[in-house]
Amino acid sequence: MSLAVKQFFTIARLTAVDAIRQPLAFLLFATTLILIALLPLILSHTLGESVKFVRDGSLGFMFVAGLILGAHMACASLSSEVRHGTVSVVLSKPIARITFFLAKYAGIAAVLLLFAAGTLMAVLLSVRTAFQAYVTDWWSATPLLLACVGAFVVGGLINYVLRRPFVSNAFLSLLMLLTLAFVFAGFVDQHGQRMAFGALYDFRILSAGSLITLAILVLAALSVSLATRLSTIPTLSLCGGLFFLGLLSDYFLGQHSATSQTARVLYYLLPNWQHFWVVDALGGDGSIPGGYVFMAGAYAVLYLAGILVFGVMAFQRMEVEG
Amino acid sequence: MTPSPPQTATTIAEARDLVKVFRDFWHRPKVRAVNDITFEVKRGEVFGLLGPNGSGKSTTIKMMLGLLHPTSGYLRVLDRSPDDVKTKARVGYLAEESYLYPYLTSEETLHFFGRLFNLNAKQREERIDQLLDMIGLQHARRRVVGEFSKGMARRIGLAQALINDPDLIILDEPTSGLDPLGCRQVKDLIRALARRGKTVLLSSHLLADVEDICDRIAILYNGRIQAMGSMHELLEQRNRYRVTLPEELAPDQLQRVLDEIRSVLGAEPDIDHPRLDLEEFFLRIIEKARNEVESQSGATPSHTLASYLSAPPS
Repeated sequence: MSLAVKQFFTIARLTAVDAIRQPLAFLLFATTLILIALLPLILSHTLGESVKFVRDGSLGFMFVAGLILGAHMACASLSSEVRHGTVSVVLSKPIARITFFLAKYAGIAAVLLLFAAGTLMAVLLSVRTAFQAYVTDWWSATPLLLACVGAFVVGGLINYVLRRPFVSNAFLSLLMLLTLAFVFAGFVDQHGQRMAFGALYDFRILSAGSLITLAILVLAALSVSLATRLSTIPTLSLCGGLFFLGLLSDYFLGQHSATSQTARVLYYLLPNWQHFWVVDALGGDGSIPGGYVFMAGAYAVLYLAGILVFGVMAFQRMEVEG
Repeated sequence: MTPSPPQTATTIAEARDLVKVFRDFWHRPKVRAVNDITFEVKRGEVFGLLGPNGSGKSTTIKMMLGLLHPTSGYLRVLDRSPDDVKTKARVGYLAEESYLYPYLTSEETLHFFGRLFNLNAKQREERIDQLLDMIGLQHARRRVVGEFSKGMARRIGLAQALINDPDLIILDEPTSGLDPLGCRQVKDLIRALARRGKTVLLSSHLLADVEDICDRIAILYNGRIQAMGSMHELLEQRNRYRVTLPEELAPDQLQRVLDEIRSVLGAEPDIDHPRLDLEEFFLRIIEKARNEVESQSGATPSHTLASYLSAPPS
C-alpha cells in the first residue's frame, strides 16, 4: 500500500474517531433515536394514519439530524482545526493537501453512514411498532427503547471500569445494541412467536432512507468545502441557506427555468433536495422505483464529486495562519 | 553553551530577501509581516528567532514549513522547497499552541503522527515508549490530551515533533506554558539534541531561554532582522572586563588585591557578592523537595534522550 493511501486511511480513521468522541455527535444520534422510538407511542391513536405519521416523522428526524450532524462535523473537523492550529501541525508532516482534504471528508462520511444505518434500523422498528392501529407492538418498541437506554449504561460502565472515553463508547454501544434489537425483533412477531426474519419490517423504507443518506452526504461535502475558507458560523449559515434554497428551487426557479436563462443556470447549480425526499411515494402499497434511486444516486455522486473538486482547489492554496 | 558551528558547515535552511504580505478579503495588502529578511541556519546549530509578539517569527516559521506561501524572495529548507513532502519528512515542528486532537489519548496522538511518517507498528511502539519516558508522561499515556494542563500538552506536542527523528527541529515558543522545571527540561533536551547533531530553529520572546540555548540568534522587529550573530558576538562588551577571584581567598589577601587595583586605577572598583539566578535557585529547592515527595507537576521525565534520536543525521 502506498504511503498516500496509508495516510488517507490514517486521517480518515482519526477524523471518524474524533467525530464520534464529540459529545454533540452522540447527543444528536441518541436524541434522534429516542424521538423515533417514542413517535409510535405518541401517535398510536391517529385513525389508522399512524404508520404514515411515524414513517414520515422518523425519516424527517433522520434528514434534519443528519444534516446538522454533517455540517457540525465538517466545521469541527476543518474550520476549528484550522483556527486552533491543529491543521498546521498535521500539514507540517509529509502529507499532500489533497490527501488530507479527501480523507477528512471520508472520515465524516463514514460516521454519517453509521448514523444513517442506525437511524434506518430504528425507523424500521418504529414503523413496525405503529403498524396496527390502536395496538402497540411491544416486541419491537421495547428492544429499541432498551438499546437507547442501554447505550448510556454500557458507555458509563466502560468509562468507570476501563477509564475509556464515555462518548465514543456510548456511540458504538448504541449502534451495536440497536443492531441486536433489530435482529432480535426481526425474528419475533407481535405475539412473541418466532417467525422468518424481517417479515414485519417495511423494507421499502430503505430506498427512501438511502436517498436521504445521499442528501446528507452531499450537504456534508458542501460544508467541508466551505469550511476550507470560512469559519464555523459563515459555513453553517451558508449551508443552511443552500439547504433552504435547494429545497424550494423547484418552486422558485424550476417553473421559470424554461423562460429565464438565469433561473435555469441557478436551478442546475443549486442542489435540489426534492430529488432525495420521496417518502410520499411509499403511501399505500407504493414503492420507489429502482431506476429513480439509481438516477438520484448518480445525481448525488456527480454533485458530490463537483463539490469535492471545488473543495480540493480551495484547500490546495489555502494559507494556514492558525 | 555549545560552540558555534564552523562557517563551512552545511546550510540546512536559507532565506534570502524573504517577504510575506497578508492580504484582506479584497486581496488588498493588509500587513507586511515579514519584510525582506535574509538568514541561514547551519547543520547542528541552535538558531533562535527572537522578537516581541507580531515581529514575524511565527510567520517566518510557517513559511519554512510550507504552511504560508512567501510573497517574494528565496526560501529553501534541506535543499528543497518547503512545500515538498520530502522536506517535511525530515522536519519536526512544535506549534506555538499545542492544539492537538483533544479527544485522543497521548498514545493515540503519537501513533497517529507516527503513521503519517510510515513508521510500522513496532517502530511506533518503541518510539512512543521512549518519547513518553523522555517527556515524563508515561503515566498519562491513556489520558485524553484535552484533559492535559498546558505544560503537559506542550510536552506531548514536543513528542510528536520528534517522532520521525527529524534532522531539522522547528520549535515555536517551546517553553511557553511550562513551569521553570519544565523549561529547564526542554532547554536541556534542545541542548542534547544539538549535541546529537540535530539542527534546531526556535522562536521565542523569552530572552533568558534564548540566551541559554542558542548558538546564533536573529532579532526581529516589525518583520525585519534588526541584529544577527552568535550570542558571543552580540553580547560581549569588548571594552569592559570582569575579574573572578578564587573562592578560598582569605580576607587579608582580598584586601591586598583591592589595594593593588585601587593604586593602579586610582579609583574605587565595584565589588559585590555573586548571586545565583532565580531559575538556578528554584531548581535547587525543587530538587531537594523532589527527594522527599515522589511526584511533581503531573510529569516525571526520565532525563534521558530517547535512544532512537541518538543516531547522527543521514
